[in-house]
Amino acid sequence: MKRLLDNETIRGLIMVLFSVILAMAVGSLVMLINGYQPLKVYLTLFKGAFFGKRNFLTSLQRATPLVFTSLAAIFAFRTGLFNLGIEGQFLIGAVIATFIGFTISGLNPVFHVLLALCCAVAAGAIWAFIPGLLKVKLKTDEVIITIMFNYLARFGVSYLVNYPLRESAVAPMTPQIKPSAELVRLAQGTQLNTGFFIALFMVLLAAFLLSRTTLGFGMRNVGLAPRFALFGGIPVNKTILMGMLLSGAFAGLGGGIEVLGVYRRFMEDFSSGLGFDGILVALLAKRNPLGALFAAIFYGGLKSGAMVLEWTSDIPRELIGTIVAIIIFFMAAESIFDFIWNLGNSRVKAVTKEA
Amino acid sequence: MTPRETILDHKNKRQNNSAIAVCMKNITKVFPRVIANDHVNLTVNKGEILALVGENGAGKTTLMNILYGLYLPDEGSIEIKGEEVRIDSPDKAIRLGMGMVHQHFKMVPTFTVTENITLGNEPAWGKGIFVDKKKARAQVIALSEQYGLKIDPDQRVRDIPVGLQQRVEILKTLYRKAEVLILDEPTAILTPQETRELFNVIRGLVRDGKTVIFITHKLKEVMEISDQVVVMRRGRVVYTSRTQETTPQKLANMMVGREVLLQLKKTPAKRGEVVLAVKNLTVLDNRGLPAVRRISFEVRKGMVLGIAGVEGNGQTELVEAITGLRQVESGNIVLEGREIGMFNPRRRRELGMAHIPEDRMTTGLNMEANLKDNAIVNSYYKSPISKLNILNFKVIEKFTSRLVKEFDIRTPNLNVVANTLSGGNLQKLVLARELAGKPKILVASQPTRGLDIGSIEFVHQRIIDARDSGTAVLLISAELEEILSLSDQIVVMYEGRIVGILEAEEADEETVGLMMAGIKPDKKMKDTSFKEKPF
Ligand SMILES: Nc1ncnc2c1ncn2[C@@H]1O[C@H](COP(=O)(O)OP(=O)(O)OP(=O)(O)O)[C@@H](O)[C@H]1O
Ligand SMILES: [Mg+2]
Repeated sequence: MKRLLDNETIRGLIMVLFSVILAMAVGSLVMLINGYQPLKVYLTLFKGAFFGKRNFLTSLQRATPLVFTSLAAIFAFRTGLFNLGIEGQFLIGAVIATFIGFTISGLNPVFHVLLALCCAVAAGAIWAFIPGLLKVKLKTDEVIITIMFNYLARFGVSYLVNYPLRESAVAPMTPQIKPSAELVRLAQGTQLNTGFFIALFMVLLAAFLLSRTTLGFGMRNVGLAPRFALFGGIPVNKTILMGMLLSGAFAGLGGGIEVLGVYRRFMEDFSSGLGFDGILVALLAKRNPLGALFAAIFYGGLKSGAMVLEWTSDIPRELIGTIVAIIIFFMAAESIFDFIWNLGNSRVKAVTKEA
Repeated sequence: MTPRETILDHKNKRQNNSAIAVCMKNITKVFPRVIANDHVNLTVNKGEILALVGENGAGKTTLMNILYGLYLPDEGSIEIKGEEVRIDSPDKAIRLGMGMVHQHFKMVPTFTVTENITLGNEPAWGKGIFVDKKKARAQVIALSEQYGLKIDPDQRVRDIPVGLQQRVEILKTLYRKAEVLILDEPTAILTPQETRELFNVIRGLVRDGKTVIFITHKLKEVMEISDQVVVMRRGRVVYTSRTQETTPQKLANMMVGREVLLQLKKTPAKRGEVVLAVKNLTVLDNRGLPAVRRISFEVRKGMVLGIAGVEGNGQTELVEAITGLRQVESGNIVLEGREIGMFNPRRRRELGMAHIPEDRMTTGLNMEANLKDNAIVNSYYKSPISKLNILNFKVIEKFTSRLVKEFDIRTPNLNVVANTLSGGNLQKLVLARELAGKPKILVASQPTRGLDIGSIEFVHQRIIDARDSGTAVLLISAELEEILSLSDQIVVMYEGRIVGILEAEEADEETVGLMMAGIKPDKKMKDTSFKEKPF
């Protein structure tokens, strides 16, 4: 017997619709209590996010780093790993790319950008690889180690921009990168740059890696059924290492692109929260790379819409933040609970011996 | 008649046919592209044992899941004690007096026996906020004594063998005051001894006025324990009979739709050189205690070496050590003259090892992945399944559908997630994959667990065929009959040691049975637990 849509799919669609309505309702309630008109606020928010060329392009620009950090999260999740160090890997990638960007001069722009980004990828990858290695060799918990590595990265980077790499006397920031290292902006009046195209390409690459390659096959089996993976002949430890490595690589690349494309120098605290936002976006996208693209645009849009709202209305930014948080939370609620549950429970363990 | 009256009036009278415990009418359940139950009618008399049989994927588990409130039927109605009810959750089912022990257990491994039994219904104090642990423990002990289901209330479930885990599951249903017990293939994981004990328990329950629905693939058990038998095929009930009025042959015929050869045809083995040698092997269990103690044996090309033994006597650890899932404490594992004790499973597989694990749910299969992923786990990195690390979907599709056809795996398509398959079909998927290559050594642990008789016949033939084409087979089974009919040589294990090694001709059920209990055979058998020299 054939059916067009099975019950599962219908249930999924209803769930999404339901959570959107619920989120809007709860948000409305918060606004009404504080004496604002929900309809007007939502309208401004979504207009600010997606209507008008400038608003839309700004949303895409804000989505760009999220695409990378969410891909980073997806690679770790799929392998059954909880890389909470995306934030740090992103920072390390950003600072290395900046360094290459302002120290070297006289390079062909293509090579200069490529060199800076490759270094960012390598740096992010190494920064994630170490916790992976510790997990495989010493059985340490990657959650704890990656969080520690966030602090290490933050303090290390802070030291760098405050002392050896500091240029400005007023603020802790590095010199500007050379024009040859800049990613080209795409339109006047926005900071959207060619980094967005790299993001699109990476989404496709990630989707391909995960579904069509032997590495992706290994990852999803290690992530879902580690004992089965070991039994069947998948090299579990190697796959764990590759999962961390790729996760870090995407995060590092995101950091590099953010400085080369948007800020063009490294400033302290410029990226705060992008790593964790990436995890949220990945959850929102149900760990699917293509989904992550749309979820990142949605999330980026909400953020830039919130900015517009802040400028054009008298609603305090804390309230705006609360409303955005409510929307995201309801949409990802199921995944978030899953995430927290797994954090405390069934995670991939490294294999004792692998000769 | 109210149920209470029924119990009082007819205590100890099993011939009371007038009272009906459960009546399922016209039940239909459709899954995407599968009709699991097709207008099924089932009547279960109170105080009786009903055996539900049928080939793999016939819809037995689905029907029982409906009765237990796990699925709502698409059509049909259910009456319990004559009253029409809507069972939309297991909670509702439990309130109506249903209790179910699933084919694949559902317990919290890290909880104790007591915690698992009382979970969700703990006796409480302080306005129901705190669990009264003492009382819970006392209740569990009382219950276990009442029904003769011996357990240790304080052990953690993950530390006890499956036979005991099953008792815990049964006690859990009794703790919740079940009147109708549904047991889904309870004997698949039991030794003959444990099965006898279970049957005694079941008889006791029925004497107490309870009703039992019992799913099994073993016709001997149907004949031994049931009052009524129902046969399902492809979602329908095709045969119903009082047990006394039918025969195993008739049942087999109704199940499979053809004559089943209950006797295997095989020629004497042509033994070749030694393929796998285990020397003085010691392996520790999860608690760090020796489970396998200085064991030695050899498996030769073209023969089946059977390992007999009551479950929990070190077989699991032995197999895990041989296949690379568990560390070797001391001793050697040698494959074609090469020490492999330190190799990971992939390397062992590359040297020609195939492994049918006893646990298909967490080891043999990825239940969250589709059939194709499951089919290629041991070959995904090899040509033609993948080239240059890129999977070839077309080849995978073809390969998987070949396995599905060859082993008659009942599935709507290859993209369904494994956990939608029936228990027996899951087992067939594991078998199909592991037998697909031409292994030099096949380690088969409980290979036919959960299979219907037609499939068992087929799989036994495939194992013998593999043997005849030169594979060395190491067979581990709790099923003594299986060991006796397939093996050319039999090793009997007891408490991690080898009690003796027998040639097929000198082995019979009684001798092996005694040895399984740790009783050394008399002089006519050679004692080979220390000096290994099979022949
Ligand atoms: N959740 C599900 N989703 C989709 N299909 C299912 C699901 N559960 C069962 N099926 C299908 O329904 C059919 C009947 O399955 P069921 O588990 O009832 O068989 P069974 O008689 O218990 O077999 P076995 O003896 O192998 O345990 C099978 O073809 C199976 O693939
Ligand atoms: Mg079943």
